[in-house]
Amino acid sequence: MTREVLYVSKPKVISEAFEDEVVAINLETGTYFGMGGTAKEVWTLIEGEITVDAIASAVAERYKRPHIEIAAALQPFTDSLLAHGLVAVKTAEASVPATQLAGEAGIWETPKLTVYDDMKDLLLLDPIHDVDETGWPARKQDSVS
Amino acid sequence: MTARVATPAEFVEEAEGCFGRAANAAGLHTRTFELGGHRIRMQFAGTRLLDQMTRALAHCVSTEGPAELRVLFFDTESTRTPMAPPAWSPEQYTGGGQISGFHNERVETSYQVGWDVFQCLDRERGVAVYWTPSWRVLPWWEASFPLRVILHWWLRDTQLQPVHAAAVGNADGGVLIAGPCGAGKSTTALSCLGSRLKYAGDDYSLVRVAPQPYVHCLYNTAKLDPEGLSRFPHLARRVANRDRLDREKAMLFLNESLPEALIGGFPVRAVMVPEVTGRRDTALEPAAQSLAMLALAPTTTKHLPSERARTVGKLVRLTKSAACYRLLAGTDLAQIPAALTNLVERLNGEALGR
Repeated sequence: MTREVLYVSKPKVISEAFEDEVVAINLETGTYFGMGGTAKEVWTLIEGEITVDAIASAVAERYKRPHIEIAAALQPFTDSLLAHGLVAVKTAEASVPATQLAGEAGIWETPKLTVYDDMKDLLLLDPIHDVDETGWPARKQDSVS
Repeated sequence: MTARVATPAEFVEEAEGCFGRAANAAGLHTRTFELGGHRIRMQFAGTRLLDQMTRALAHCVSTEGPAELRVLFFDTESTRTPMAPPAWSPEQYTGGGQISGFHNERVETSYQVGWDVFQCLDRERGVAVYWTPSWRVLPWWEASFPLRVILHWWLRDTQLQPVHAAAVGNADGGVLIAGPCGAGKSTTALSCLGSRLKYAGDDYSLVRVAPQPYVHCLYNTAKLDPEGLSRFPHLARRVANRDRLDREKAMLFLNESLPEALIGGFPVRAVMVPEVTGRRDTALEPAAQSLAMLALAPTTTKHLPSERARTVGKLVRLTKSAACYRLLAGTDLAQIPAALTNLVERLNGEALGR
């Protein structure tokens, strides 16, 4: 039997765990992401490759909350990770052992992905259409002072 | 459009040949600087780019001697010497300046669309070329951080990294001030002029990230928008581009106007992340190191997009070995240097066991 597991999209995504927060970057887009609290814990679980259901079970157990409630709270977060290309889904063998979360559980909070998208203005640059007779991009007349 | 065929290394050689012809036509001018412990020779064909590209580095002038890197500057208009035609197609230009598919482990290339600046580096031969079709169209801000991209490339395999941060401190140590443009880096750094803290930059600093973080004063410039300049009326007469403030930020070259305020470098004790509060008083509060990372990394890797993973790795090493503080900057500017001086002297005392 196989299941769909989430995994970190390496090597295009790198991450670093700081004391309070994981900082991840999608190297292809240059976008940075911050994940603190329960989001950091979920990221740690995904680094070990895990099904969405197993994440919900591990988090529900840790915070002593109903599985159905945790699964519903996790869905937008994992959807967001997928949408930003931070994680992907692959098919794996059924028995995927869940990574154990270290330390005391804090206060439950819905996991949140903070996006630091400083690259938008660069990505919106117009493509080059015009080159001069030497092959270099043609300069606009109004750019000459 | 089909591009002609040349490898990146061949293109750098062609560009070097173009520079040689430009220097024959307009005269060769050489300046040598020591940046972060490395001797770098800048050579110019003619004089049109010389002042723009060296004034910000004047505090780092070096004695003559063997240089590790030679950077060749020319423009076509003033030297009447064309650049070699591109060996790539227009579709390969990217928003970040990289020329997609026309760089490799040995050679870096960049064309800043809209700025009309081409730069390339051959690591193996220690040669870089900086070209623009006309010195007239060079953006004003290039004079405030010359060599920024070429240094970023050339220092790739070292512990040094140009970092988007201001820096103030004394010989025992000091702080980086991090954040995107408009976050208050310049205001914070310039508020320290005249205090016990010296100035090592307000925009880009050269940081040795390990084994102990150390910042070198890379550029002696300071830049202020009109609102920022209004907070420092005593600096107005020192502004170098007073006749162009309708279209440029006010730029000061402190090596010329306030040399006693500069310091060559110091150990980095902490990263400050300023927040403009609108309140009168200034306060400092300890913050998580991830805040420093998120203040330094996105903006640095936006401006210097190549080798992003390596740059991120260096910034992780830096932010994990320095403290982080949030600087809640108030409107009473005099409180900012006072708060920073207290913190810097305390951190230096702790680090030096005093």
